[in-house]
Amino acid sequence: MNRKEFLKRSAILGAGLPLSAYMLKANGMFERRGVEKAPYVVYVLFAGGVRQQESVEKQYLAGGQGLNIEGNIMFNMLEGQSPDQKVVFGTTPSGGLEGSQPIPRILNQTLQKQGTLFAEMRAVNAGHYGGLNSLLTGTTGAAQGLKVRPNAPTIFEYLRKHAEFKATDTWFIGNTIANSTPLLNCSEHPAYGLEYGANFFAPMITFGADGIDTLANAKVYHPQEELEPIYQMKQFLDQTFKLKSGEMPGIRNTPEEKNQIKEFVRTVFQRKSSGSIDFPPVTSNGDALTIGYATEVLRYFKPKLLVVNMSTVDSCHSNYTSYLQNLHRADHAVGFLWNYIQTRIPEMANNTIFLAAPECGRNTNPNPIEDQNQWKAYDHSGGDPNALRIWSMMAGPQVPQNLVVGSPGNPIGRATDFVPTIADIFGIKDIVQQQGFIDNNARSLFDRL
Amino acid sequence: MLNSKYIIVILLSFILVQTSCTKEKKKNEYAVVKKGVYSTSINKSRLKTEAQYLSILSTDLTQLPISPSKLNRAIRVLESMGDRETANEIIISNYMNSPNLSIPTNQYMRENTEQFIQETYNKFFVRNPSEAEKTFFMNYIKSNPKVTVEMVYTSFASSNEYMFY
Repeated sequence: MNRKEFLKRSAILGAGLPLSAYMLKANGMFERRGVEKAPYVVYVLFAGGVRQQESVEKQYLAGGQGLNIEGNIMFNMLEGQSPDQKVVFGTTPSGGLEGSQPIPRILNQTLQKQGTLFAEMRAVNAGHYGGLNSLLTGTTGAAQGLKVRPNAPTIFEYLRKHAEFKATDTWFIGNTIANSTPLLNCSEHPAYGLEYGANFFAPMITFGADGIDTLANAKVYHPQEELEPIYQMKQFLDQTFKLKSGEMPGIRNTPEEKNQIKEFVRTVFQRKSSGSIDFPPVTSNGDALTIGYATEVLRYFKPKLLVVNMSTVDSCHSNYTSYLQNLHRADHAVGFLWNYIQTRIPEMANNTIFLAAPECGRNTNPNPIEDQNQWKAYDHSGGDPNALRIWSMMAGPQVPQNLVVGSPGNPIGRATDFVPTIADIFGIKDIVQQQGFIDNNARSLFDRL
Repeated sequence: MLNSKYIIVILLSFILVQTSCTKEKKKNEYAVVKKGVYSTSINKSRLKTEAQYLSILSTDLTQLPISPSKLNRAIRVLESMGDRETANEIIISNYMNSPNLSIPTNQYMRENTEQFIQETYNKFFVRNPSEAEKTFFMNYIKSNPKVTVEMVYTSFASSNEYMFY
């Protein structure tokens, strides 16, 4: 090679390198993942607006109704003795008073002992939709309305795009199809969206009376003998249409994943009719049933990230007694879920990080509605600082045990922290932060310790 | 005196009612208006709503309209599943197990393949197949003896074109 040719080739190489780097970065191939803290995360959106007073502060009726009766009604998550008077949150024994029998604790050791309790955090929104949005997108945007997908990418989309999770690696389990719930599995962001969304079930509908009527009798076709010809013909039909195969907007489940989902649906209906589904021992509300179906998803798919939404404590708007009962049941359901993972799913036992947090708190002062016990109800309103007080629980590998951080005078953590925390667990925290969508003040909870 | 006044009023009323004009009766005539099918798929640009998709699917597979309650339940189920395409496929296969399923026999498809293809395109896509489409299905059905009407119908009902109108 002569000098002239050498200079020419060097110049081409010099110009080409930055261009290649730019192209690799644009395609997400230049992104470096960090070390994974755990292979699985289960994240509970708990459970429709919870006051600190009745949860981590264990004030029972002292905090909300001015009665001098304190105690812990979340036996599985929190340390502390149960109230010994005016017990209304449990089940009703035959011939006994309504709710007077507390539901026995499931976990041998509370989640507080097993992990870290962030006892005082700050929500960024006092409403359900803004609150859920912040828990799933890590943003402070309060514009989330009813029946609207989030504007900013969700944690599901970050994981599917930047950590290359397949669709069935990420699941969002909703307790309803009302409001925005079925729309929280992905955002409307043009660079992310449905293509990177999580799979979603609202199992109370999918496997309830509606599903029995619509899905339960479905066939599951043989992959080679039946499905292959069906897909071959469908592919031909799609080729002759303007939207080709795979171009319809939707979650990108592969044919194998789609078949897995069909098989799962069939299996759940079978297990349901034979009474084989493991539900929490007390299933007197929709949240507990939803958790039961969530364990079916965990058992079958072993997803890397499963997020489950609960909301029955929101009955507090009109019935304080019901709020206490549902709070006690939400704790029961969480205890069941964590126990199921540790005892029934060997791949996930000791390999799963558990996260839970309410999307918002509730007001300092009650509204005028009284329940059957003449106890006043509580709303959650913007402008009330108590409605922005939340807590969080974290347990599993690499999570310090028996640690409590934060106090009313020193809150630690924000509702927007969960997206960087999950990204941190899966080694893409820096990548997520570099995208520039999440709250500037959001941190991984591991970095808060 | 009073009685005769009443009688006059009643008589006058009777005469007025009998002689007043009456609304002309409009004759409604019903008939089937022949509507042309799409010549190609190009004009299909609007995505069917869930209700439209489910209603048309029911009619195409069972020849029966879907009841409002069943339609409502099916819409709720679609909303309860994130992967709409997979949900549609399960709903289609649920119909294939329905006692109301009304589809041609496999024997009919094998013995009248060209006609079957024509009818299937008309039913699902409301258009005639092109020569290329006809040739593809003629060859595909002939060279794959295990292909059934159910499989062909499932491929049409789950195709992208069927989602549009």
